[in-house]
Amino acid sequence: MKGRIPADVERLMWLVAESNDPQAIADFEQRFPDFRYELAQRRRMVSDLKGAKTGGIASVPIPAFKLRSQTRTAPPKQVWIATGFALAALAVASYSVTVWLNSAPSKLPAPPVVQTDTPKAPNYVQYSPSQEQQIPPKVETPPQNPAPTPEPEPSTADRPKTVKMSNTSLVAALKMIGSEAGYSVEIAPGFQDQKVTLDYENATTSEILKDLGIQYTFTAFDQGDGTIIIVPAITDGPATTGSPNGPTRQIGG
Amino acid sequence: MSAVIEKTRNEAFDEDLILVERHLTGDAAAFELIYRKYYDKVFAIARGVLMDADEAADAVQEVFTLVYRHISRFDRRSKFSTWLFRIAVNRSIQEARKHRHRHRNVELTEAAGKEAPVETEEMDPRVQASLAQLAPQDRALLTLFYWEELSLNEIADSIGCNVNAAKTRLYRARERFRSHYEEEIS
Repeated sequence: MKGRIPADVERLMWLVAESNDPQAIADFEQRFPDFRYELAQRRRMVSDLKGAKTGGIASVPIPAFKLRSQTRTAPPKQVWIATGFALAALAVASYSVTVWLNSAPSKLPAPPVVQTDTPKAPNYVQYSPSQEQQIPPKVETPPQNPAPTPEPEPSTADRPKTVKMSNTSLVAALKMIGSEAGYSVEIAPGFQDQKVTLDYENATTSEILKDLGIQYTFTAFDQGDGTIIIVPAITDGPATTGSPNGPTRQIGG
Repeated sequence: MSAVIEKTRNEAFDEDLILVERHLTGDAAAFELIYRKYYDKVFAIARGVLMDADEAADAVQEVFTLVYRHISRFDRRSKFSTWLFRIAVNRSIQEARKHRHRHRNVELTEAAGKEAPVETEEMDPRVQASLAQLAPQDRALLTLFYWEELSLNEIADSIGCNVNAAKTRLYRARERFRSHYEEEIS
């Protein structure tokens, strides 16, 4: 119904309904006979709404004013601001703690250090058996010489290095020595692991592996693809077994 | 609407200001006069918003306590009455929001046979039902306009907005009321 009523007629109709002026009502009904019903509805609504002011109230005398000791006021603006700051501080603190925990250095004991070409005073950490299950030995390589040198540097495997370990797993030590030289060390089945103490100074990877092989009865085979296989046996000469990637070569043979 | 909108109050001065000044200078009777002069109007606003006579009576005491404590903040840029109505509207809306959930819980108890408060006349149930479906802000606007017959300027001062905003809000509140009212009639 309302959709059919033009906006200006609608406005006029409300004015007439709220004024409740008989002359205005008569004029409107004469001018817009189609909207007589609409006008009557609005007049009734306005009349009922205005009449509701007194409806339901007993006319009681005005009670005496009693000043209340405390009004139920909403928290003042300062409280909301302080609460906002507190929440923001909490969020920042939470974020900072999370970042700090993620970036904090590990509390685990420092791994043993294998130094290659170390200066005069070798600096290494004793490798205890309790630590070996936690962190693999770390190999530190000396920093690259920034000065340009015309001579090509020896490969990592051929570079003399110092290895000092005490009471550590032979397998772990072999893997560490191999990885330091850029090899992936694989242990053949049947290899007996044991606790060993290593002390090499200025020895190449090949020399170390050969010496260890003699001491602990194994042979290291370079597969030619960056893999060294540790076989629990001593061979007198170069290995004859081949590999799909190329000729197999006995380390230090 | 214009008949009421256009109505103006040609008062030479705001006599309430004198009462305010007297109260501020320590005249205890001045505030009592303000209270008695405006009790009915503040009660009507509170009742229109809260739709409960007891809660309205309680709210009136709260409103006048606030006025008593903070009357020194009245800056005299508007009429004292609109400043008072503004406090009444805000406090009533605040109370209405607080009591909204309580009403829903109490309705069941009352329906179970609790005695209704004694009232001399019943408010038109269709009007009451229609008002109950409105937001407290809408009820406040309709109360100020239809019950207190304030002008748009006074309504704008009382709800803290400009005249155009008050006009728009009042129009929308009236349309929402009409929609509910016609549903009740049909």
